[in-house]
Amino acid sequence: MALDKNLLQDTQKVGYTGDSDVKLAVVNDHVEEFSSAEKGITILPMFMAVKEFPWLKEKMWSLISPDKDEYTRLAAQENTLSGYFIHVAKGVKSTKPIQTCLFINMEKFVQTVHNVVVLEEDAEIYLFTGCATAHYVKTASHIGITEIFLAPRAKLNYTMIHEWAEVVEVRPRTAISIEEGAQFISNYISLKAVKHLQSMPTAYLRGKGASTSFNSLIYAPEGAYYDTGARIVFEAPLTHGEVISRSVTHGGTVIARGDLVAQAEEVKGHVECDSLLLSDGGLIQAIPVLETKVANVSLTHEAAVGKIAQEELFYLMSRGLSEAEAKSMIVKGFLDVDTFRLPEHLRPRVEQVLKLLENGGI
Amino acid sequence: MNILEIRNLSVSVEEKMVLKNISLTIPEGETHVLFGPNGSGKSSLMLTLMGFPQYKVVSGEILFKGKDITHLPTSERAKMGIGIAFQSPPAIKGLKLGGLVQELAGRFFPDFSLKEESEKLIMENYLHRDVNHGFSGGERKRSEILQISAQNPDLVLLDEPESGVDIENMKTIGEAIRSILHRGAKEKRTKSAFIITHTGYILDYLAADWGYVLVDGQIQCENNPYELLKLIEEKGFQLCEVCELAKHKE
Repeated sequence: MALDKNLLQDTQKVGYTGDSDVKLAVVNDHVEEFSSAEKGITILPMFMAVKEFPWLKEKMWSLISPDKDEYTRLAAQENTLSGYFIHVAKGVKSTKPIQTCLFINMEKFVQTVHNVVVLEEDAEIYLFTGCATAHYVKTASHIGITEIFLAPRAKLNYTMIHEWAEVVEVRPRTAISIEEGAQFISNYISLKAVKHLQSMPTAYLRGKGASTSFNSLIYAPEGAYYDTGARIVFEAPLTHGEVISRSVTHGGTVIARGDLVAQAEEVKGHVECDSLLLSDGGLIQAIPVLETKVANVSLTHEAAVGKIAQEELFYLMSRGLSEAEAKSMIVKGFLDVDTFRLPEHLRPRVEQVLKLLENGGI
Repeated sequence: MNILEIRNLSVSVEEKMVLKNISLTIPEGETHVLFGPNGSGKSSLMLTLMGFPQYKVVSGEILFKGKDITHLPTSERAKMGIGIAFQSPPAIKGLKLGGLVQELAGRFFPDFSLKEESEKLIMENYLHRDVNHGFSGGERKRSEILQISAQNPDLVLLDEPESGVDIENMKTIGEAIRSILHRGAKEKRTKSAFIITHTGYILDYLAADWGYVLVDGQIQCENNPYELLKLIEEKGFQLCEVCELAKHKE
């Protein structure tokens, strides 16, 4: 089982190169390839996983309610076993990225997947997920349910790159349970047009010292509509979390959300939404929500929405760069991958992806 | 040849006149100094020379290397060979100093050695940082001079290179500027400078040829810059009211 060369061309754009030891690719509604050659790390198509790990049934739909909205209802009703399961055994640490890919190559296909990721105590992995449509697909839908469970002191660095076609509707529904001392870092990149993307993962910080960080880079060309953000629920004391988003719109719409809900003492949360409006006709809304019933917490937010600062533009022009060159430099800087806490070995891959996306549009 | 010639230049910002009837000439290879109290229009003159759009030229003209640049866009002026080190440059998030400097060197000064020049300015550990982001006063100045160095302009405009800078940094900055100005010099220097200074400290490192005192947007007098500095140190800028050098005495 291996991905067809033609397919690989499209998946490479979102970072799925197929040369990883641990990998899995979902094409439309079936798993096209998977392999798990690292000790202590299991990756399986969901329909196989539920047979091998009977307890998995209890995990499914335990973080996300099937009644949450019409998309979760649809997924629950289909009882889809399309998707992947990842299990990392206690104490297993790997810096080699695990690659997964959710791919659509059929016109008008509605892809529904359900993924579950479980990291046992002290486990650490890097997960790289690319979601894309084949270059010839124009219209499709993607509904992705993802439930992630991090046992005490487990660490997951989760990088997701989206590259959907212009008329694709995207509805990821993600929730993460983070126990004592565990850490969840999410890096999300989408730089292409998408008809309508709505995503609001929820992280539950359930044990002392648990932490999470959501970082996103979004570029919205004309016609694109993004409603994205993250929600962090601080259920245990001494937890901390942040939502950092950078978005650029060139005629598209970006709604950047960040919800912090404090339910325990001495928690610390921060929301930062920075947005650049490159042309008239686009729309940016930054919506931070800070909520607490507990007095002894620190929740903060910063939001900056506007066009490129004239001061910065003229600064670069006074160095001999044309206006267009200066603008492009500022935008690239604004969308810099350094925002992300990427490990060194992943950085070249993300930069490569950004370059490919850039050549295609920005 | 004159590198810069300003003829009867008057400039307004948001309808307010900030520069009135300025005329001055900088011959090629010379360093001229502009003194003046806060708010006298010194920075406005520099930014007008650079073509910043909020500075509207009401009358007069600016000639660079004999060509009228009064209405040229900022980037064209820079390409022709004017470079500016700003007094308080903005920070640009995500844009790496090293990347920007290399981009400039690639365009304007292929012989530039990033390693050598950044070491000279003690900036080798800042190249991977965002341009001016979180930089101290001295670091910002050194970052400005490093960029200028890569741009290699024929006329260097320096807006208060000593403000917010300690003596150690002053020496580093002064020596770096001097070495830029002496690039390609044979019998005579070919690079010129126009420097705003409040304190005159920079003149300990650079030889200046001529000085001007700007008060209320007008050049009150011009003379040997060291003489002017001495007078200013003794009497402050009120000297213009009593000084026989003053042009605009009524």
